[in-house]
Amino acid sequence: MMNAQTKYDDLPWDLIVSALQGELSAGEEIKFQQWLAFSLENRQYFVQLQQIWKDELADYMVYREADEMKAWDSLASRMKNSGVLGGVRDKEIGVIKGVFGSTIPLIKRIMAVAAVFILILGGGWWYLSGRFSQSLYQTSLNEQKKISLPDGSTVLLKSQSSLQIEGSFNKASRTLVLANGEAYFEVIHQEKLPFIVEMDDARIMDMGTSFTVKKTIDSIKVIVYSGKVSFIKKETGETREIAAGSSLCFNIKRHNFEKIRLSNPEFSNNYLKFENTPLSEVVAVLEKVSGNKIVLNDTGISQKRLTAHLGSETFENSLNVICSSLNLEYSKKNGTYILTKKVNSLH
Amino acid sequence: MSPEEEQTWSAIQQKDQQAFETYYKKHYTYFFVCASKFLKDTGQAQEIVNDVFMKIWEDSGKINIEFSLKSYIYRAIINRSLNALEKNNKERENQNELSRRPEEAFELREMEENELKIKLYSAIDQLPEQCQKVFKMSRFEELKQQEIANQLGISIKTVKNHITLALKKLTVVLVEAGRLPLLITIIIDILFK
Repeated sequence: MMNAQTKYDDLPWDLIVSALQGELSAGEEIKFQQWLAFSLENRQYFVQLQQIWKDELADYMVYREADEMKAWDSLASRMKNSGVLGGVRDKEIGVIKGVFGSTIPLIKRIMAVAAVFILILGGGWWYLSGRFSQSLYQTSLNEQKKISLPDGSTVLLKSQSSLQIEGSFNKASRTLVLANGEAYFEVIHQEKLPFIVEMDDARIMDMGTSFTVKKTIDSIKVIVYSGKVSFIKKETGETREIAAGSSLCFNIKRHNFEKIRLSNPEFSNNYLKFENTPLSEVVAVLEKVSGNKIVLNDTGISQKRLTAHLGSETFENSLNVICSSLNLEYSKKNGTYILTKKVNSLH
Repeated sequence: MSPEEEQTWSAIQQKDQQAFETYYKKHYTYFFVCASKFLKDTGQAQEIVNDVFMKIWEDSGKINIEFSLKSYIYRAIINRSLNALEKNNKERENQNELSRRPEEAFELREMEENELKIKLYSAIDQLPEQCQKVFKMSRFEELKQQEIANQLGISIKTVKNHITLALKKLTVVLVEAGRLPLLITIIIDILFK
């Protein structure tokens, strides 16, 4: 039987080392070229080593210069000087002391309590009356805003986007206007008040769900993570229903719906969230969003329920999260991911 | 955020200095190397890392981190580094770095790339002393095998053996990082031998 260690040692290290250093003699050069020509595996391996040797190691000297102790000392003294770092024993008071002196904390606290009180009062009024005026939310580059709506739904407004909330929101209707950009919605379902995202050419009507809308000059993309939404072309009233794990694009210039296939990087930036969802459904969503095939090896596990926020996880990390929460494990065979019950190993 | 990050972040938000210090020290090298890539001046790189951490500490109550603490800090450091670069941009060749800034989508890959680097470097630091010495002379001082052998009073064969050992260790890092799927079978063989 072929042993791994010998497979390692079988590599012509003598030649590889000299090749990296550019010190092959003419005779060695021929032998080395033969070794490279022998298999794709050999060539790929050497390319990797070469890349490390040349590129990856280039920053090693910089790395050696990193001195976290010294750097921390410098940061700590800055923190002290600016008053944001107090004594260790009473951090909270220390923080305030540094800026305002020692008698202020009590007043500060009273003011804080008063502020909270006013907020609660104001918020209550705002919530009950529902008569707050129309508000516009805008984000600049690299800025995100989380907006909590009076009906309990939330919006994550991504960078360079603007969203308008109608004054009558949650009263006669629940309508938002996405003027441009991208937003992620988590909607609490209300039978009588459908949640509507309006845009110039299209409208999205939700039925209790989470989804992302990305609007550019020429298209509107909708990605649905859970539940179901209706995507409505205003011109004709043509309606498409989008289920969890699916997405659809409206081409503004051509006035039609188009399929989109989500690429992996996009997957990694999305916000998959499951609440008490059967594993079979979770798997269906993951399959669609990632393009990978997933098989449940045991029918018993398909009814397991998952509550997890897979946020910005990569596909394999998502699987890891799922497996560790449901006591499963996964393996990969011929490009298919297989989920099985975890067997307690004996070691 | 991972549960671990979540815990750290909420501790920082509650002004837990110990947690902040621990996190800082654990990740300083990584961020420092990232910033140095743009700045070339390590003093400035340290300053930028500290600026960002200072801001994080001051504003922790106001900052809303949705996905990952590490990538939040990473992005802040890169942005600041680029700004600083622009400011002290008298050398024009550095401007290439600016135009080569990848899209947000590549950021994750870029972060992984840097993480791999740190792993490779710490693997080098863990090599036996003499092996480390030979490897560094070869790679960073660009000495020939014969020169190294002469300086250290060892044979060329020994020089090669040291470098071979170093490369094998780096290979293990690569395999663990999933860069060498071809060799995964080898590792599995080793584990089950």
